[in-house]
Amino acid sequence: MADESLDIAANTDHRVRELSGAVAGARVSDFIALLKPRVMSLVVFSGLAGLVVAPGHIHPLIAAVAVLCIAVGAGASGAINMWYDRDIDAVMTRTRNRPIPKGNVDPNEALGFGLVLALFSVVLMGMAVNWTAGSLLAFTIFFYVIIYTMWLKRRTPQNIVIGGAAGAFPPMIGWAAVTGDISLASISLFLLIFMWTPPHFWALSLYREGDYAKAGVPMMPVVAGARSTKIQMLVYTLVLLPIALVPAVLGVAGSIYAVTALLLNIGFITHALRVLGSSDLRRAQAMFKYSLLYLSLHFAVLMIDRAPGLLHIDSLSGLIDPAWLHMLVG
Amino acid sequence: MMASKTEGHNDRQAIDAERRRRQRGRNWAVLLALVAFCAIVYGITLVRLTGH
Repeated sequence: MADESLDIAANTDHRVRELSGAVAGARVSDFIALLKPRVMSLVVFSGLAGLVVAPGHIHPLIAAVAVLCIAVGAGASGAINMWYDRDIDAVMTRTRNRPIPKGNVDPNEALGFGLVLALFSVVLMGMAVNWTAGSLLAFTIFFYVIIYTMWLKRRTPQNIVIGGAAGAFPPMIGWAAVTGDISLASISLFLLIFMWTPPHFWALSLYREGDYAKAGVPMMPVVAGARSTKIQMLVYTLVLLPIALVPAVLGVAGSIYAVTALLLNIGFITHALRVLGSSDLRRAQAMFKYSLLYLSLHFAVLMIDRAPGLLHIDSLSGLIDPAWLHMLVG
Repeated sequence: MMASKTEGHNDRQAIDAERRRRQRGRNWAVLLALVAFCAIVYGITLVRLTGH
């Protein structure tokens, strides 16, 4: 008898935990999932890099607010994207467990959540940091939601090429947060992500081709075939090599960055050649993983290379005594 | 018959408890967001007043 009631309690517990949002309301974790935290982390990282390498002074609190606004703006774009793409998300294996197709969050609630966060991030960025950064953030959200999600994604295999611009803006926003302007150096950071996006996404879509075909999304491997996609991936990695070196040429980064960028790009080209020379999908998967490491290391080294310069600007002076820091570094 | 009635009753109770738990979670999240927002605005005001 006791065993039976324990069984009922355990079953009830399990079923209740699996309840949809319509029955028991959404969890906080569902709203966090709407923000696409993994995408957000890369966006925040590249935005922070733009902020760190930009010449000039920024108070640490204002810098933190700028990074927060970039994160919230990226999350808002993700939430609106999930609202619009809920039909294809339900079909694709990779996305069918997202909060809306799973029934945990009502679509209109997700849209409202995204719009409020978008407005909040843009207004706060404009008022607390500056309106150049605020306008760039607003344009980024507009570009991702309207240009990429609503217009390009389901219409053209070039969706990722043009839509990739949305993911490339964060370092420019970080840069503008410090300097209040757009310069050649910040455009070079934009170009780095812009040219990296196609080979990165096409590597993913090569081994997820079936998923995209099922959902009717015209990704390059679905429309042009694997061979053509692989050739284009190689072309993009070749073009990426000189672009990755531009920050060093412009003096934004030094020799540590230049050497690392060269090695990372040789690695990326090697991966593209391996993908081209084989039909093994694990090669594409390996290239996708490498592409994530590629971009993270680029921006990490860019910041490390720039770090000694940080001691000469006021950004840390509010927190740490510069004289002590100079002694520490020698 | 009796067992399924008990199970249905347990289900309703559990659903109510889960609904309240999730509502409480969302309330706390909104409260935290509002407190964080006030702290940010307060901090920015102080920084701006010092001429940054």
